[in-house]
Amino acid sequence: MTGPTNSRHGMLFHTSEFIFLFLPAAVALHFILARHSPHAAIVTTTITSLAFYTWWRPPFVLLPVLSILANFWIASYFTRLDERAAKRLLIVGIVANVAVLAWFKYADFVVSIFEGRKPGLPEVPLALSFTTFVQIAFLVDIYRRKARVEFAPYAMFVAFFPHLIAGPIVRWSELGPQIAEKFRYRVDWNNIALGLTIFTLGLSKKVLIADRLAPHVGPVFEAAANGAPLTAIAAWGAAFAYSAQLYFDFSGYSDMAVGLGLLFNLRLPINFAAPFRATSIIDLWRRWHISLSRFLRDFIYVPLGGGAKGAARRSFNLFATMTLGGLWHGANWTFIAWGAFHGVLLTINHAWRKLRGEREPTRARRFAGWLATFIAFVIGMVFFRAADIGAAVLILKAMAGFGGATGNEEIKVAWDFWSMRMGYVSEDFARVWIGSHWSVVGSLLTAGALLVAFIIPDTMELTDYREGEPHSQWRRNVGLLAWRPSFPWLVVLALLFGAVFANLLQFTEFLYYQF
Amino acid sequence: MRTRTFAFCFLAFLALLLGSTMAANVIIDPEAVFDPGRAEMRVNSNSRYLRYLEYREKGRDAEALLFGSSRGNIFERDVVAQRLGVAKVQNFSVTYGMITDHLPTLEYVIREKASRGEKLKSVVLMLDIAHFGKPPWTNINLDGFLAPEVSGEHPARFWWRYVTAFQFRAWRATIRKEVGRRVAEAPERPLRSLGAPALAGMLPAWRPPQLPLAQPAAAETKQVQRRYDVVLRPMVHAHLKLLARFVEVCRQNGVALTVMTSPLSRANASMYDAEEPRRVAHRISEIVPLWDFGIPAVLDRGEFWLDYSHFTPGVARILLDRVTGQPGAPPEELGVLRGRP
Repeated sequence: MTGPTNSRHGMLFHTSEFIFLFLPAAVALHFILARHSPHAAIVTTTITSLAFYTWWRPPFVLLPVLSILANFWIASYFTRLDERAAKRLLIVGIVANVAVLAWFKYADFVVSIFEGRKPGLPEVPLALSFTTFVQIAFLVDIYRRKARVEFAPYAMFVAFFPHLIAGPIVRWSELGPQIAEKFRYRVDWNNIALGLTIFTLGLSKKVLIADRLAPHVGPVFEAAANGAPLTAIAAWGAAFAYSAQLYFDFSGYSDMAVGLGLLFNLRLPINFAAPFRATSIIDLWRRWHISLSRFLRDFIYVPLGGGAKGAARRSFNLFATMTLGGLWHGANWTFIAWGAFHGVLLTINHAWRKLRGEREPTRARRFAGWLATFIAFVIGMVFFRAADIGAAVLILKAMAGFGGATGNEEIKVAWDFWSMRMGYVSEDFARVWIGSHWSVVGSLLTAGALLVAFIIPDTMELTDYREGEPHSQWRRNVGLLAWRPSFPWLVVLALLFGAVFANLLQFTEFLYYQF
Repeated sequence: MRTRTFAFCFLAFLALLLGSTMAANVIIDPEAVFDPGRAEMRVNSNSRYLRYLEYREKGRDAEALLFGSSRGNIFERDVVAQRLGVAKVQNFSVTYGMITDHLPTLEYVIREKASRGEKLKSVVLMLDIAHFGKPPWTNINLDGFLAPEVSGEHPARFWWRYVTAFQFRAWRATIRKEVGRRVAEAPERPLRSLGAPALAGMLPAWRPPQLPLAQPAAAETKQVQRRYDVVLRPMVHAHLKLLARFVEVCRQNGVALTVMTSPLSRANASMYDAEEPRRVAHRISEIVPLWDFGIPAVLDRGEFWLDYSHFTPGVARILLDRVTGQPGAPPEELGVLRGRP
């Protein structure tokens, strides 16, 4: 097809065909066949999950299928081999998984380093980054426990469509036992009601907030990629806006995954715990993409020695772990820089904690900690979103007031046109302060989105869903807002879904699909 | 409330929302895809799909194609056919038509004709230089989706989209247009005939709902918008590539290709930096010889224009005469052939 199309993006959770066709059919088939036997339900849901994947690009379904077969074969040998041979096989398994990921995702990047050119945009098979980590965690788990695994539950564990393509990165120890429990194959209306609620709240985050911010973020980062001058307000505005966009996009997706899991009576772990309310970088990484943080901690940081070998070694381990974590997001120096930046921040945070001791911080210190954490996170996001290091540096310079804006910029986005015509925004103000690619509308929308993130309780707080959370100190008392099957909540959900439905035609994809 | 009741009520709401949306789309049909016969009465007709249907129904024997934007609709088919020396021309001009529309359509027609052992002889491609490289409508807006046979999209996906799109404004505008049309067509009846003479003095004078007048409103907006309407061509490279492919497809299939730009009126051109469209025309001419009509001074008089954007059928004929080198051709200062033939 020649024209722009969304067909290659697959059937995403926020498309009408997924919500109204695929999902009801998949849930109905699962429970109808569960009446005959749980095994039939497991096989069916594995097949529907692969069909979900196939929607994106049919030939690529071979990859998860082969990955499932190969990893199962390796895992099934652990119980038959002696310790040394099993360990060797584990290493082979991990290397093979990483090699497949490296081939698809990093080959061109590595070649580009030697050739001294810019890396191209690799076509990474959907879900590869996530399933690679899921498979590695599975192999390590089975190796350690020497447990026997049946093929069908394992295949469903890997392929289960709610977490297949963008996480959360689930562990066999979390999902495997649930898949084996017979009572989960009966329809549970409590889970369906809760699942529909969490799914709708996640969908609203994605469609009503993240997607509204996307068109404001793009022009500023594109301008930076082209070396265009930027005002400080534009650079800060776009960095804040992208931070909010990414948070609502990915946490919305994770909420939807949890909600979908509940429709099948399976409880997936939460992935976000209101990270924008974190008061330190250490705290932030316990609340942002929790399943990835957990993986990096258990499979990179701890094996490297963690914090047990002194402060200097811990700093190195943190730096290495976060840099690799950055690289996992994409084959680009910007991601490496982002990971390294967070490695440095974590090191500073640990040093600060050691200096300060374990005293309970005052309210003012907590506020200062929150502000510093949030600003540092936003600055890091510039690397995450920028097309290359040059563009990131340009935006950072603009944030410092050295973006090269002349004070009489040509207005190139039309968002403020109406307010200028009505006299609410002066054209001179826009030319001098806002610049060519940002807008007052973008600023207001960003402020609104951030207020929602700061003030309104998170989905998991409202619904009191706690599966897999590392600690519960982040939760606030939501009082009367707490979800319960009631008429007011029904109205809220109906209104939210109605608003989402009216916007479903705007084709966007989840940001985390590309990682 | 029991959780089961809660879940049922919410699912019922979803079903109702979907069902009513589907019904509204099929009945109101703002894009005229369900009943193409109502296209004239619709506010958001999908001209791309309608052009496809037109070709399927009565254009398959065409020997030549005309591609363009809404400006291409001004050309009279018989005149185009006569100037190109073919028996019949199929017009594939569509609203805001761009190379993203034209290339898949050309490929489809060549494919379709080949399956019947026929060949295309000639193609006229008219590009709007002011829009070249800008984000297209193709497969983005609801009125811009190509027919599945043209785009390669699965028909189920195409139809699912039109059935499930929640398009409140388009529904409302279509209903208003329909009501306005019926009121305008209805014979005037004195109030007495309604059997309520006493009410006549009490009722305010009733007028049919006024449709927004597209033309003046658009012109006014453009006027004010001028300062901000910066020419942004984020997709110029992609569109040049598609154009190169278009030329290559014509070459491979032995199709005579004529490429021209549509002339810009002085009013329209004032919104752009005059040099900028010329640069784009130059880049196009590096790919294919281009009849560039630019901002022709000879067409400065208002009588040549239907509005600030569209020229008259008379001008269309003059343009055709110029590019086909008809005897007694129009003034030489109208249009220049850029690039090597």
